[in-house]
Amino acid sequence: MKQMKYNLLFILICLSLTSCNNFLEEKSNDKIIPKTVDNYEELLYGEAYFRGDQNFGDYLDIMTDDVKCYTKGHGSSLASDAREDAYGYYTWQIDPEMATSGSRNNDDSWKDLYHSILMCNICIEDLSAMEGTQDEKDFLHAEALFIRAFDYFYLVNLYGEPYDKATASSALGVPINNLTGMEDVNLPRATVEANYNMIMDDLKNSIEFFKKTTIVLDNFKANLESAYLLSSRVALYMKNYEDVVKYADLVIAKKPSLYDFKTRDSKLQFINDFNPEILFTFGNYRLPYFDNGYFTISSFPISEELKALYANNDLRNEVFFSSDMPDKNGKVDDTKIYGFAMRTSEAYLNRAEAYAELDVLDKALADINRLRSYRFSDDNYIVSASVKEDVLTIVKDERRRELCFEKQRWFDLRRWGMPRIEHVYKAGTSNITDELYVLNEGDAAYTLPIPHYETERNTSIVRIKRPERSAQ
Amino acid sequence: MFEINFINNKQTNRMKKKSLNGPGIPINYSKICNILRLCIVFVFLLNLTLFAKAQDVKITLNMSNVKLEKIVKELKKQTNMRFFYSVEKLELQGKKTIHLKNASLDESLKSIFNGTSLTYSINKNVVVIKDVDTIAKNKVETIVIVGRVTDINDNPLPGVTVMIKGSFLGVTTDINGEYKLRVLNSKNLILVYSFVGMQTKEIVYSGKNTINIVLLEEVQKIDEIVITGYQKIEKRKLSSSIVSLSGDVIREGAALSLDNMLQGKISGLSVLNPTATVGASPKIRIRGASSISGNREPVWVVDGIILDDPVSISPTELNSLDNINLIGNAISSLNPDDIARIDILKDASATAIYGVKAANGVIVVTTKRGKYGKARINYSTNLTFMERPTYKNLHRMNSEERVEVSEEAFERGLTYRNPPAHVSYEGALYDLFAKNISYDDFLKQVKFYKEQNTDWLDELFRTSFSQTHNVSLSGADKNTNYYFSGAYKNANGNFKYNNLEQYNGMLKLSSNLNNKLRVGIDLRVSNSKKHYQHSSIDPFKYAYQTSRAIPLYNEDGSLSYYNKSQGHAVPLVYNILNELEHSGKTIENQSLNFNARLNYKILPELVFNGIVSLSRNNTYQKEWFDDKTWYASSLRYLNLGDAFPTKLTDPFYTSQCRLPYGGQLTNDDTKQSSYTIRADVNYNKIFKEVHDFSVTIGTEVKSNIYEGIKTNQMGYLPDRGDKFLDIDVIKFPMYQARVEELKDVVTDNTFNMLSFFGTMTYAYDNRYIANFNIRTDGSNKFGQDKSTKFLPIWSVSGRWNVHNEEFFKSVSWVDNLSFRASYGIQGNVSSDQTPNLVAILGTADKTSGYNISTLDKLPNPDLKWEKTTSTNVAIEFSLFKGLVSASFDYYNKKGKDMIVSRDVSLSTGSNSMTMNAGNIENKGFDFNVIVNPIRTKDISWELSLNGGYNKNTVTDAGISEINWEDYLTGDAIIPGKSVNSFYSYKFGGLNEVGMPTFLDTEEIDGISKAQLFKNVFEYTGKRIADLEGGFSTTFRYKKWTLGAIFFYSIGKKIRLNPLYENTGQYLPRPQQNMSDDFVNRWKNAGDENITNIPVLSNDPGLNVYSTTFTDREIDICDNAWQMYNMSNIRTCSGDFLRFRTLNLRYALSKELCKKLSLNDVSFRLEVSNLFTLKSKKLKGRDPEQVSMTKDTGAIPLARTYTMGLNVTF
Repeated sequence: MKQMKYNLLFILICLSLTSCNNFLEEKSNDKIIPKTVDNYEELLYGEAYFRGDQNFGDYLDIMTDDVKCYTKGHGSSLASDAREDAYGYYTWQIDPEMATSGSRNNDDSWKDLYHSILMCNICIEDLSAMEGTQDEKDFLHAEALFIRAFDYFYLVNLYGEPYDKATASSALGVPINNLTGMEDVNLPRATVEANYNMIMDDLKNSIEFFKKTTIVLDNFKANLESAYLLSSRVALYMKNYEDVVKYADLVIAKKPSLYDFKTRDSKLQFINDFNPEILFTFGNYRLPYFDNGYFTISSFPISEELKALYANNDLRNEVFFSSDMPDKNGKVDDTKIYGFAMRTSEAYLNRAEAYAELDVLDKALADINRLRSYRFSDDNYIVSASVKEDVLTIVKDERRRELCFEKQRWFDLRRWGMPRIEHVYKAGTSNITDELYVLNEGDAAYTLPIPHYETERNTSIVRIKRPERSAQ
Repeated sequence: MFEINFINNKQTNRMKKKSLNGPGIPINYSKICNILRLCIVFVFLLNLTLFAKAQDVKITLNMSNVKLEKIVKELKKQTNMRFFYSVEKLELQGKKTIHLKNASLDESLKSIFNGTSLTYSINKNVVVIKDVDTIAKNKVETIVIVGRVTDINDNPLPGVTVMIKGSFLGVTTDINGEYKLRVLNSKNLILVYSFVGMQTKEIVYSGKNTINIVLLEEVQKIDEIVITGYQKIEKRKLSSSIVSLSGDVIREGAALSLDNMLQGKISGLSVLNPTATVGASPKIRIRGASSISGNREPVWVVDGIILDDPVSISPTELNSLDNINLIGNAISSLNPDDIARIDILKDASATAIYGVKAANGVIVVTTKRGKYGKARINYSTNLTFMERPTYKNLHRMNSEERVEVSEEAFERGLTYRNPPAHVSYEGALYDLFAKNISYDDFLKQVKFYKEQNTDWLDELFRTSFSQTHNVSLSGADKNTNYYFSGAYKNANGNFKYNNLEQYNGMLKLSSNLNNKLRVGIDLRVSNSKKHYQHSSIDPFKYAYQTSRAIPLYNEDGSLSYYNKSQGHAVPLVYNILNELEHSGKTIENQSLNFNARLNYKILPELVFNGIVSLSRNNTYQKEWFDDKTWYASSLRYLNLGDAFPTKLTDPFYTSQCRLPYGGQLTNDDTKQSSYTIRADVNYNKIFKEVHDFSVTIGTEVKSNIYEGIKTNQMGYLPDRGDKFLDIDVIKFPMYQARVEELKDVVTDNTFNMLSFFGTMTYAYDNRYIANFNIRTDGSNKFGQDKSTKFLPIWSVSGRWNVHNEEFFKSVSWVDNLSFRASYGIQGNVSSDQTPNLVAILGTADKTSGYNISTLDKLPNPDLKWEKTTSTNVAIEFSLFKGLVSASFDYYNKKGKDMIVSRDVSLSTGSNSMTMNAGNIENKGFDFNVIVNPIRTKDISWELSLNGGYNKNTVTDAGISEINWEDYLTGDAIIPGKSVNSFYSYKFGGLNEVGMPTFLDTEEIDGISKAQLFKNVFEYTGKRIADLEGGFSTTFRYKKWTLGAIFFYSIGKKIRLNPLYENTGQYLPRPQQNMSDDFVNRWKNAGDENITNIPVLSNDPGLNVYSTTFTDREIDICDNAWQMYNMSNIRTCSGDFLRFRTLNLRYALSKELCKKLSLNDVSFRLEVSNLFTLKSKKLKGRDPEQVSMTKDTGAIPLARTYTMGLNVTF
């Protein structure tokens, strides 16, 4: 009897201990706790990159002098009206998130960019614990630093005051987020200087790690050249012209090619997989305000002013636009690439501007003419000038022509002295009336308000006072 | 077979008790069992020898004027001898004073019994105290009594103990049930016949020497034991809060599933039946909502095994009071006729053994088993009629009243924002203006509409007939117990397209392989098929809200269609019958449960129990519509048969047509399979007669898997042989978008759990009982924090049986008085919270080809367990021999560190985070009172009252942002208020033009959202009652039994059905019916003083309240009409009293049954939902029915009539 008892107890104990670990091993079909560098790499790509279905700052170009307002004045009841959401931005309202319908058109850029930052922070934080080779880790590290710099660059230029060396140490920038998980904190605004320092640091480190790693991927993922290019752009914004030249040189040394418009495949939009000057691609090709299709009764075609800037033999006329509508980025299915890109042309333009500012006028003009040589249908493209101011004007106009509708113009206007802009708004659906709105020189509205959803929750946000603006 | 046994009374008692505690092995005094019995006697004798020296003990007694029994007890204490005596006889001797010092046992006894009519004899270690008379007469006469013992069916009962009362003389019956007993004749000779499982019978010897006895089966009183699923506990040793009910008590004829029968029967158990839909499961809560974000449903246990839901449903869906569960829950597949009893475990002490799953209480169901005797066949049937709903009391306009409203609108020049549908009066107007008809024709048509009065409720609903049939075959002999049953149900809902068909089968078999080993198997199968309407149709709401001026049929009898598509360029025609005919939903469930048990007696007091359980549930949900429905037309953007536009650039192709051909078939199939293996050892021993010690330790392994796939298939043509059309995705890009939207979903979840548990009970002298339970679970839950795996949960509890105290013995009118208290801690890891970063593997990016993963959970390192501490104190008593019995429990459940979600600043990179910030408290009491004023053979009357009061308070909600909608629906979790609290706008009367106004809606500069909401909204109340319970009465006169059950619910509030059914359209649409409240609407200036019903208007009335039309910053509503619907004057008290059932039962007399060669026949008539006392403002709506603000498909509870027949062969 006793023997039996012990047998049973033994069975019981065995039952409870055998393969306990296997049985209780955490399981899920599609969920993982990231462990390897690969896991994090996929996560970073999924959550921190702005891929083909994501965008930020869609409204950036409709605030500039590159667009005008257009309405058909009629439309079926099913059609959408781009003016509804655009009005607040196009006319630089005190609260651009307020749509004409009265509902709020949430500006998600803030949310999305900060989420991207958090994901980069997590990847950087967890690096040491990941399984993988040092080489893989260096690549991930470089990527995360680049994306973070990229995020902060857009954030500070959207919501921070324009950079000015004199005031940067007190100007309102955007919060610096060093979190690596969920936390309930109210992050205060940092200074613009702090933001720029952080961007430059991240870029410097990113470049170091890109140099260290042997991994080189295509332009869907962050890479050394794009880090150089972003560095040259940030340096340009900070007016560190030597640095601009230094970084632009590095870009051009590695990827000198420009897209020759004379020989391009005319079926494809400008930003496409065969375009040799694309360094890094991001964002959605769909542009909500530039659709003049059947189902919209209004849109924002290019302004007369911009149109006038292009010479007749400038091929950009047909490559960049289609019936007065920006048309640089085509359907993903055709172009096999995302909607936006960082490209080599910008390196030439950055360098040209830096040379002009540094009074090295011949080099500035050489860069501009080199770019133009790829853009014109004939040899009649050379520009020249002998005074610094004239060269600067040439450089700035060329930059406007080349980089229009790539989310650059608004930022350029901010750093070029925030000029006065007039916008005519077409109000009404059947009886169209013209309303004139004016953005004054140096207007506070050159800085966007921080979105409502943030200020409602984050009480430590100091707001910039944008002026009330109504039609004149 | 003739044998004299030395069996003392205590011994038999203990045996009997074992059968209660153990796995239910009837101890048979058969040949085999005799060996066991001899063993026991042998062990007993061994014990005696251990005490052999006791006789030499010197005894000192110093007792004055005490009862003899007390002296004997003292003697017993000092000598450790066993004494056998009759308490009564000692009582008769009165009191005695005795002083002895160092006396021998013999001397002591001599002096004790000196002068009494008693004498004694010492037999080894046993002292027998007996009558002097008896001994004297013994010498005179010995008689021989013979006889036969049988059961009620004349089956001989072998092994029955026949004893002489007050002695230890006895025999057992032989295989033929016969016995022969040689005894000394005496007056007051009483024979006691006892047998496990049978009622003990006493016969006074009257000089007849042949005594044949029929023993009746022992009906185990439900209140003697409780079953926790892991154990059986004697009620008098129970220190937890458990309510037990027998299957017969809960059985209701019209109810199809156990959960539908529980309302009002169990204190502390709240049941909400939101609809009369056949096959819908009610919402059950035990002692309030104990979680903020987690599941609030109790755990169902059948025969010791936890059953899982056939389809895994999210806590949010389960917790929502507006959600109706048609799929069914864990218990739906169980045939109610197979239920022997249920036990509801309420406090932490009772549920601790179930671990983390059981924080919301446990309902333990025990199925029937065979009764001793030859096989019996039972057939029972219930035939039920359910009434259909009518317009009576609903206060809806008839067609004339409705058309008059349209006339007024027209006459006052009120216009619609969008063109109204071409139907009813407005349709006639269209035709008139288009000059399609003359003015005379117009008047004729108006008259036609006024007289139409379509009875939608009659057209869609019916008085339905349902039937259930149940056959069982059961029986048991000394070794084997069996119960087989089969059932068939065909239940028709009072909605014409609602039907349920279910088959059940059960097989239970258990057998003693030898005197130590018992094995058993159970097998349950069920198959059910339920038919419902397509979920886009809410039939009762349709009937309620659709104008009665709309005809259902044309004059020629064909279906009449009208345009139901506001905003579509093409009028899309609708007819509800056509819609119902050409769409539908079926839910089919197949379930199989198999249990195998083994009980092995290692030692008499040490038992090993093992159980293996497998279960399988296949659920097939199918929802479909074909191309003839309006629903398909609305996707197609064309009526069936209309030509498609020719140009491919037409918006029809590019943006409208989402389903060009056919209908759609949606299949959602889920396979649930689980197994449980459990082993435990139970040790139970009574030391020195007063120390009752019981320990169980065990381990359990459980695995539950859900696998499923949900698919949508377009182009469905059911009437072409269930074929599917191929549709050109290039031509129809919107169709392609729809296909992409409705992606197939695969479910594959495995939940594994390994648990260890232990329970320990110590009872001292049946007076003080202490209990300790502990359990720890480890699971494969994904992302779980390793440190919280196997964290134990535990409970302690105690009981004091005051009535067993010596000092209380003299209080004769109290049969039972006891106190209970328990305390326990329960932990819970909220299902999907994790301290880790969790990613979801995605597919490759379409453009770049790189793999992506998306974020599932951000790391949240500060997460802790949710903890619930609960305390329960209770008193139980029974007075005047059961005339009044009652129990009263007070409890306090405190949930701490509940997981809540808090919105955080977006610059942190996340939108919201979960944190352990919620605290929730449930306080309350449960009570049960039973009074039996009349208890005679022919007449008995029982009254019972029960109730549960629960106060649920969210002490800390942790959520920072609540939308205005949440205030209205009751989904807002607000500190200081209960879960399910809802709010209303403050109605400020009508203004001078009859428009409604609302108070405190001003948006003062700089006001915060929270502050504004605080101003705007007024707390209305809770959607769940404070106090719920039932009372019932049962009156029996001979073979007639009349019973009534009432249910009451106090303390909840109800939002009335919306007065304005479509708040976006400010005038009532032509197809809408209206409440007859509108008859009293504001019509002329000054009416605002006498009515609260606003003017008929097309004014959105928004200028003040919505950001859409003003420069408000913060939204507080959609528009003024919606505010009116949701205002404080559109709420009412939800207190109600429901006459749940009235039933009359008649059982045929035994004689008549015998003539019919039947064992037992009874008839039953039952009426359910006889009437409900409720707030007048509800206007025909049932207080349990969900408000019509959402499409829930709820149908108000209806009255049912049931006829039942029960025959046992």
